Amino acid sequence: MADRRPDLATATDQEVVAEARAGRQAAYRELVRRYERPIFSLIYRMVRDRELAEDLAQETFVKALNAVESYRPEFKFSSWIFKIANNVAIDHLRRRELSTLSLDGSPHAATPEAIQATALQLGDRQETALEELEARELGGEIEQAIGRLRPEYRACILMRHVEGRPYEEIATMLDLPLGTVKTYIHRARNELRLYLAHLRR
Amino acid sequence: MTDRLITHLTLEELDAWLEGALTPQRETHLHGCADCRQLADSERELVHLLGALPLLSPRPGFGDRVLARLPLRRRVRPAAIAAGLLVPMAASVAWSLANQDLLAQLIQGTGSELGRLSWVTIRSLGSTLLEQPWYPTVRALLGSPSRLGIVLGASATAYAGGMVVLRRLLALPTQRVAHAQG
Repeated sequence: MADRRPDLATATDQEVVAEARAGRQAAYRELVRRYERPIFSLIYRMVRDRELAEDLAQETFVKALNAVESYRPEFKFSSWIFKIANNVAIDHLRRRELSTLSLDGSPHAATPEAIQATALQLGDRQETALEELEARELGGEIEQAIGRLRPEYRACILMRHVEGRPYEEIATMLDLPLGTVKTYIHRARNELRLYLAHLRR
Repeated sequence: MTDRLITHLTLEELDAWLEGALTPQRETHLHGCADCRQLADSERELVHLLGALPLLSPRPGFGDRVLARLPLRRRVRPAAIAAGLLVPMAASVAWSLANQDLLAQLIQGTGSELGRLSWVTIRSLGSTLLEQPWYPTVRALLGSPSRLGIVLGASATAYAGGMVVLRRLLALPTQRVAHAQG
């Protein structure tokens, strides 16, 4: 009997997921191969720690692949796994209560007064020489500037302008209203422009 | 002042411009407004910088480390399931056909033995009940339909009351305990 299993290298995500659901080990490996770099990149830029990013990326894949039975094929697999990755990273940051600084105040501030009241000054985050060198190796000033954003802004800006996802998909992935996603991205761009202003001079 | 603010590009319009979807009227404004032009240029530059960020790689062997943490799942093929069911069934039928006499004896013997055991059990339970010291009292109490109804009603009420009390005792508190808040 001819083997009707698809060639994993050329199969669509949905086909690979179907094979994984059927218990084909090679399909799991193929999904990891396809998404290890985008997922690791997103998480690294969220947490700014290589070892930690690798642990969280592993956690993302283990969660996703263990729950592959519950994945609904009408959604893009990439959206689904990015959503899991973002949740893993945000959960970690919340647990660690990583302090991030924002020029625009609380993202939940609704009025100009509230934004002003919750606005913070640009921090003088002291990075070690190693961290600075690492940051330069990984993309320099822009990476550092992204690291200064609030996690919510960071997730949105990375999804939009690094991953190239449409606003609607980001809203679905992050379980946020579309307007909130747009606000976060605009505020993130404003902050990044300020952080990087010295490069333009 | 108000007119000036209104005519400047909004953030939504900047997005549209970045995607090449700005209306011709607003394009005209953009070309004539130094402030908007500067903002738009810096937005475009920023978006370009972000889009050019490289993909980063985890350490080699990442996939192996992920797969090592997954429970092994083996594909269960439909053919294997069918074989697993059909082979024992076929063997069973073949054995039955070849040993029909023995099978009939077994069925008959097992059936009669089960019937005998059931009858002995019922008789034993009945005689045990009749020998209980409280049996005559209970029999007298349940002797008339009205008394039987009263006893059954009281039992049902007691049971329902007991369930309500038990549920209240086992219910979780609905308000957070102050000292338990993190």
